[in-house]
Amino acid sequence: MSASLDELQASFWAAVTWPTGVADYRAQLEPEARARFDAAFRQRGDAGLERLEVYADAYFWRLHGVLAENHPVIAWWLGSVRFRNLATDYVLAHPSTAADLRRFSASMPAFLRARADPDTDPDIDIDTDALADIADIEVAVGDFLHAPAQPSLDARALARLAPADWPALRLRPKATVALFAPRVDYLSLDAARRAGSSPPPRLPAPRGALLVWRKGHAVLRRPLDPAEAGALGTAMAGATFLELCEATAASLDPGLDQSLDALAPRVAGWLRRWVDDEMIVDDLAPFA
Amino acid sequence: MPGPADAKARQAAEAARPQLGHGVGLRVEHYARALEAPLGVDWVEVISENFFGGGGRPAAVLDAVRPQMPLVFHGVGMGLGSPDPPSAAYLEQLRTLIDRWAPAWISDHLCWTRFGGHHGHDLWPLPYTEESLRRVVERIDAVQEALARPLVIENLSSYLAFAGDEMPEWEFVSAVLRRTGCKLLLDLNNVVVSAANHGFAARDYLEAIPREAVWQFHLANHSERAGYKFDDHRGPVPDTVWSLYRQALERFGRVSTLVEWDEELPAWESLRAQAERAREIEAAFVEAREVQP
Repeated sequence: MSASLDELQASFWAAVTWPTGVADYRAQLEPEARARFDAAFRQRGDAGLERLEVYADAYFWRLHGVLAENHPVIAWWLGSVRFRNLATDYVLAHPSTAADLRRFSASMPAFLRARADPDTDPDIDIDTDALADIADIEVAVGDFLHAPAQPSLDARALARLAPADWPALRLRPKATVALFAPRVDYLSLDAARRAGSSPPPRLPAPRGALLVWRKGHAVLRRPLDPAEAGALGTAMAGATFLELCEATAASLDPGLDQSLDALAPRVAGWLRRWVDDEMIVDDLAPFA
Repeated sequence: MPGPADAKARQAAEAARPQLGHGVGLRVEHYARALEAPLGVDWVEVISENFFGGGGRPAAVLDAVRPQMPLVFHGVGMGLGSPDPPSAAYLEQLRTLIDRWAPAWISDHLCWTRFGGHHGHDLWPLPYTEESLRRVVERIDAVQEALARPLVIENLSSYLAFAGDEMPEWEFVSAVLRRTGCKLLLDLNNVVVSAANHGFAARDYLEAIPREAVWQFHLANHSERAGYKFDDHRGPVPDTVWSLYRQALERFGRVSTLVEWDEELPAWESLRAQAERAREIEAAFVEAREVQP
């Protein structure tokens, strides 16, 4: 009696996703199951089960290619062999659950954080937490490239705002704005990769906060000083302009002038840049 | 040469199907080109799932291209023969694309691609059995109802057959078309690949397909590997596929035709040249037909 469609597909899936290939999958089957497996697949010339390997190779290589595309800095820094091993482990641990391949990397940061490569391979000094931080940035870049557009606040609209309205003003960053504090100098790594340099043996030390955002169709990155990073984080939490100024004052050296008059131009300068960089949602309706 | 009755049937089928002309598969590598200037082809086909994000540059590309020409969404993730049906969320995403960009039609493959809630991101062959047929027919009926439009399905290239096959591929495909009323995207490269891998004549395949169901042709390249052909869409359309294209025109008449090239993509102008070659071959076929007594 021939296998049912469900049985056939279960065998096919198990074989093509087996970590070490179809032959090893077949070898570990009990004799009766192996005979059924052999009987289910055939091809011209009785060439054995090699054609199933075509699908197995395609499965791993396609997903490996997607991960390499989604994580260019990690792939470059690890090199082809270590990245292939990472990708294979990831594919086995997190088979794709979405038709949209862009989402395949979503679990990579958590996967990296759960790994302990220095224990399993003491010759390789990999800070998987730092790699996970890079993965967070790369996932955000991919998400932002495809995210639905939100209307951008226009600087002229902001300029028309009455002075009395400023303290209660909430400038809401778009969903395509993210703030990171990576445990690695991501920007210098990415610059070296783009320049075609060899990856450094150690991940470079962190340089502070990193802003990632979409402007137009491009996703951009720049370092932030601690004061601007603090202010942006406060704005992302939904603070008013007054609260932004207060939070900024609290973060400054006590010896500096912390009056609203002194702080407002500095905070307004950040806001102007954020607006010019299309980071802020057009949300001034309450003040119209 | 086809007889008068044959020619009449071909003519009727040709008149009944939409004619989009000669197009190219628009891939990520050419998005920037699409935003810069008119693409200069009759129509384009894009991978449906690449637009599920809903925005960014992919959406901007379609916003720019759609007013210029017809567009077709070509899916790779519906997995009609998978153990589980396409999810409601997947179909909802397709509906969103349809509502926003009004494609000429929606196509996907006659294959399976999911198992146990996981996506294989490949096009896996189905056994050609009555059991598979019932499953696929039921799924296509449900998708056509959900999308309120006929689905266009593509024949697969495959590397293995199943011992339990009960019919040849063309019988299976024809039965699906007949039972569901869906249309066929006849990938001529896939016919060449599968014919070589499974030992049948490509011409027999064409002869068995009902004329009136053929909605679109795909033209593409494949690689020669040790003992089999591999469908990788790398390089220009080879002579074997151009030759089958001429035979397909004889059998089906004029059909909307699209060139696919997915690996090591050349400049857009090279892709356009492939579509132009298809146009010239079709024009030669039409001219020869018109001078026949």
